[in-house]
Amino acid sequence: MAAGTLEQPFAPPETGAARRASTRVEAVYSEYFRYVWRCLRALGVHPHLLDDAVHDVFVVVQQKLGAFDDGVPVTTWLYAITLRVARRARANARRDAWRYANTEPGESASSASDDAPAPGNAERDLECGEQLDLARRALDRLDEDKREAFVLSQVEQRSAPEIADITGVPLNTVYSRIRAAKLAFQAEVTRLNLVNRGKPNDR
Amino acid sequence: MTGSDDDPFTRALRDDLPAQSDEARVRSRLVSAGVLAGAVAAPVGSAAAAAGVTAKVVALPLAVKVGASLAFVGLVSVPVVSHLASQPPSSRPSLSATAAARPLPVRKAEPRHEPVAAPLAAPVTETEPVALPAPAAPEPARPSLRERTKSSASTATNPLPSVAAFEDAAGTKPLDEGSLRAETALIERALSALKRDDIATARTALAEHARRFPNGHLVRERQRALERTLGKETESHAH
Repeated sequence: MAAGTLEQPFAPPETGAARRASTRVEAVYSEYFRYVWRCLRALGVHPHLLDDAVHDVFVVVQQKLGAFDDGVPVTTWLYAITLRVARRARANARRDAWRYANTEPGESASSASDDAPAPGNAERDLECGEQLDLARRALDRLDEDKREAFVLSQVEQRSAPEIADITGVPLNTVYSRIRAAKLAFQAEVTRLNLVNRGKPNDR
Repeated sequence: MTGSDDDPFTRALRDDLPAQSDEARVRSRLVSAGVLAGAVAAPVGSAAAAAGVTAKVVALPLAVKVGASLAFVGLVSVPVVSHLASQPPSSRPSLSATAAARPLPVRKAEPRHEPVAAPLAAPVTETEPVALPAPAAPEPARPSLRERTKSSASTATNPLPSVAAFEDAAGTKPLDEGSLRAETALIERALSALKRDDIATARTALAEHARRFPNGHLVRERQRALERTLGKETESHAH
């Protein structure tokens, strides 16, 4: 411990300020990586672009951390960055749609491959996986505004005033978007459930 | 029902968190990009621990922070001193010379194309500080050493020797022993005068050489001697 801390000041490429900034980014990363990843995924970033998007978020965090206003909650600031990175990633994915033509938008590359289910919970995991897949497909059918409102309010459980700060839209608009997004999501889930029941062999 | 907290689909979205491998993969990318500190193999909790240590350091009293800063300065100075000690002695001045020298010693203003070995030249200390010539009398502003060197030398419009000069030195020009002896005598007179700091005699000898042998065998030696003369003249004006 002591040796490590004594050696750190001699790390050549980093100044003291850079070191402090790096430590702060490290703290933000450790605390919020999971939520950034989940939020980006729910906001419709393609699995193949997810690592890039998370990377971009924390690069922006590093660049803007010096100008971060301590009066604003970190979550608001971080979700605002995440939202913009997600928009850009979605736009890039639309532009390069031909690259991902053979991949299902709702599939999760890393989760499907890396998270091997525990032996006794296979059935439950399968059910959860189906629910998650259906929820993602329902989200994919929402327009961008509703999707962002739904993800921030229902998945990330942000309050409406905070969502107003994050998205930069008036509070009343946020309330109406959340309400409309819930209804739209419910309608899509119901419809997809009916479709699945009607075509059980499709999946 | 759907969209509320009890909704299994929303809950599934909420529980869709990344695996450790996702976290490690992105972390390694951020470390490579220089965004995160280089502890690639560190566990996830180490960053939080580092943040905790930082917070504890911030909370320390001022006296402890000052002490730690002084210790850090001391640690930094150790490699600097060892680096200086590892340099060859010829490249650094002695302690006494350092103490006696002015804060910013500058290299003596000599042309860069001068050869390393000057057989008859007086020894020159490289770190010897050279002060700019101060205008003592109300005489007109003196041109710089480089300008005077260029203007005074008879054939010195180009400071570098021409190809013809090399050919002459190599013996393509017929060698006249009498004139070479006379040239050598003049140049040696100038150099010995320079050794005695007799600038006037040196200039006279060099002027005579330039007049009698404008394209002689020792034009380059004359030019170098003239530059040394002008350098000494500048020094004497400075003192």
